Amino acid sequence: MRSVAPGRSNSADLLLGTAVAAFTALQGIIVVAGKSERWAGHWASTSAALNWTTVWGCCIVSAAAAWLVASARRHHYEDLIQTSSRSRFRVYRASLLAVALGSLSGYTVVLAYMVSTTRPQATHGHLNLLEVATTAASVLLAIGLGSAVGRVIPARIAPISAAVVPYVLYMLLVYGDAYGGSILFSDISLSDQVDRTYLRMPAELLLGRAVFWAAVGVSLLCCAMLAGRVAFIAVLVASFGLSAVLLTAGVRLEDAAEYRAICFSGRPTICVDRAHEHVADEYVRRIRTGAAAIPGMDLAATTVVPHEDPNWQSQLQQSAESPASQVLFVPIIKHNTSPAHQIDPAALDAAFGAAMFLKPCQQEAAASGETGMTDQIRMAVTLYGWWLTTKNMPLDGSNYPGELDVRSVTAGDPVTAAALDHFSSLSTTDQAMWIKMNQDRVSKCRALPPA
Amino acid sequence: MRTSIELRTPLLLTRAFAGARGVTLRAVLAYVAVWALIGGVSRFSMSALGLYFAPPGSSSLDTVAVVFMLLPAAALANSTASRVPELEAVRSRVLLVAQCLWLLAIVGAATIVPWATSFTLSQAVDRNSYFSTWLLVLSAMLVVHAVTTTMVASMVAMSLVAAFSTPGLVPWEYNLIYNLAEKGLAAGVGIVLLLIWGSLQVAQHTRQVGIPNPD
Repeated sequence: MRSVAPGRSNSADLLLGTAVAAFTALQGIIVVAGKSERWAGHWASTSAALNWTTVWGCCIVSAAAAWLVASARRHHYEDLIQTSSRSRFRVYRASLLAVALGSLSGYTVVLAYMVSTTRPQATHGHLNLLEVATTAASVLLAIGLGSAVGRVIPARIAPISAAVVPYVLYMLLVYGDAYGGSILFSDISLSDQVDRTYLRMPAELLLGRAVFWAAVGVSLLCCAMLAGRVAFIAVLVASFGLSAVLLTAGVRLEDAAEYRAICFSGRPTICVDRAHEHVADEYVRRIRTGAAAIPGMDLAATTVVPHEDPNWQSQLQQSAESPASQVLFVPIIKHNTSPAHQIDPAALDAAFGAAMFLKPCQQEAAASGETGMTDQIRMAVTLYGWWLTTKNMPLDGSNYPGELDVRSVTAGDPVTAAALDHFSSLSTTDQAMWIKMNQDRVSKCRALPPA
Repeated sequence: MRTSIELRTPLLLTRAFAGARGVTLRAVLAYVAVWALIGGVSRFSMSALGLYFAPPGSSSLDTVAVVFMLLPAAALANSTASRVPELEAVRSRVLLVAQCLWLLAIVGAATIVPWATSFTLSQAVDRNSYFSTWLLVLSAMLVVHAVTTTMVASMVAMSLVAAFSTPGLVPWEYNLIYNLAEKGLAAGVGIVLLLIWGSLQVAQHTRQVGIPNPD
C-alpha cells in the first residue's frame, strides 16, 4: 500500500481528503437519517441536528490528522523535519488542509441531504448558520486533537488513539451532565441534546461554543507544530469563548410562535401547533380516515390535538373558534419520539384508537379509584382490540412505546376475550350500529359488547 | 541488578526481540493501565433513559469502555510484526516457530491482563459479555491487520464499534456487542476470526523467508 506522508505527494493528500469526506458523509447521513423524526421538516431542529454528526465525524478527522503528523516518525524521517528550514506548519499545511476540506465537504453533503429533506416540507423558519458553526468548529478541534496525539503517542497507535479522544471527550461531557448536574457540561458539548422544537439556544452561547472549540483546536494544533506564541493567543480566544458560554449556559429562549394553534374545522376539528404544521396535512388526513372508520361515533363536538403541553393548551383555548366540549389527545409518535416531526402511520392509527376508546376509560377508572379488571377497562380493551384488528395491526403492544398489550389482557380475562371475539365476528354494519346505539354509554365507558 | 551471565543473556535477548516488536516496560505498563481504565470507565453508564442502575451482571459494557478497548487491541495487533528485520533474519529459531510463540504470547497478554483487571469492572457488567466483546474487537482488529496496516485495521474496528453503537443501524438480535443474549455468538465469531488470523499468520511466515514489512 502506498504510504501517505506529508509533503510527499499531492495525489496522496487528495486521496486522504476524499476518504475523510466519504466516511464523514456516510456516517453523518446514517446518524441523521436514523433519527429523522426529530428534525425533518422543522428548520430549527434541522439546524441543530447537523451537530449530532460531529460525534463520530470528529473521530475520523482526528485519526486522519494523527496519521499524517505521526507519519514522519513512522517512516523515520522526523530528524529531517526537525532540521528543515521550513516551519512545521508549512510541512503539514497541504495535508492537514486536505483533511479539513474533506471533512467540511463531508458535512456539506450531510447538510445538503438534510436541507433537501426539510425544504419541501417546512412551513416557516430558515437554516440557522450559528448552529452549523459548531460543526465547522469541530473540524478545527479534531485537527488539533489529532495533531497533538500524533506527536506524542507511538506512531502506529496514534491514529486509533486520536480517534478515541474526541469520543471520550464527548462522553465525559455527557457523564458530567448526568452525574455532575451542571448545565454547563451539556451546553458546551458539540452535540447538545436540547430539543429545538420550542426552545432556542441564545446566539451568544452558540457562537461562544463554536469559538471555544475552534480555538482549543487551533491551540492544540499550534502546540503540535511548535508555534507557542500562536497557541497562547488561541488559548486567550478560547477563554473568551468559554466566558460567553459560562454567562449564557442554561439560558433557553422559548419561541412562543411555535405554540400557535392551527385548526382545521370539520368532524372532528383538528388542531396542530405551528411547530408541527409541516405534518398537519397528513395528520388531518389520517385522523379523518380513522374517524370515518367508526361511522357510529359523532365527533362534531370533538377537537383532536397532537400533544398535551400546558403552553399549547392555553394557546389552543385562545385560538379555538368553537369551544369544543371534548379534547382528544392523539400524539404523533415515531420510534421513541413524541411529538415527532414525522408521522408513523401505524403508530398514529393505533394512538387514535387508544385516544378514542382506551384513554378516557383508563382515566375514569383511575379517577374512581378502582383497580383491576373493571367493566370500564373491559369495554375499553375490547373496543381497542377491535380497532387494531380492523386496521390489521398487532395486538401485542408493539405499535408504539408504552402501548397497552391487548393480547396479555385478553389472555388473563376470558370475559374480555369473549367480548372481543364476538364483536369482531359481527358484520361491519352491525358493529357501526352497535356503536351508534351505545354511543353515549361508550363515551361513558359503560357499554360492554355482548359476549 | 546482578545476575549470572547464563541468566542475563536470554533476558537481554528476549528484551531485544520484544523491543523490536514495540514491547517495552513502558508499553506494558500503559497496556495494563488502559485495562484498569476500561474497568473504571465501566462504572459510568448511560442508557437512552439517562442514568441507569442495573442489577449485578445484567448489563453490557457502555460504549466508552468498548471504544477504549480499541487501544489495547491496536497495540496487540501492532506488535505482531517485528520492525527490526535484520534481528529476525539472523536468529537461530525457525521463523514460523518464533512467530507462533509470539502469537501465543499475544493471546496470553490478551487474556490474562483483561482477566486480572476485571475486578475494577462495575458489578453491573456481565463478565462473559465483557470477554466476548473484547474477543470480537480484538479478533476483528487482528484479522484486518494481518492483511493491511494498523491504520486500516484500527479504522475498520472503530467502524464496527460505531455501527453496533448507532441505534437502529444493526437489528438488535444481531447486535453482538450490546445484546447480552448474543454473547455466545459474539464469542464464536471472535474465535473464528482468531483462527483465520492464526492461519493467515502461519501462511505469511511459511511463504516468506524475510519479515513482512509492517507498512
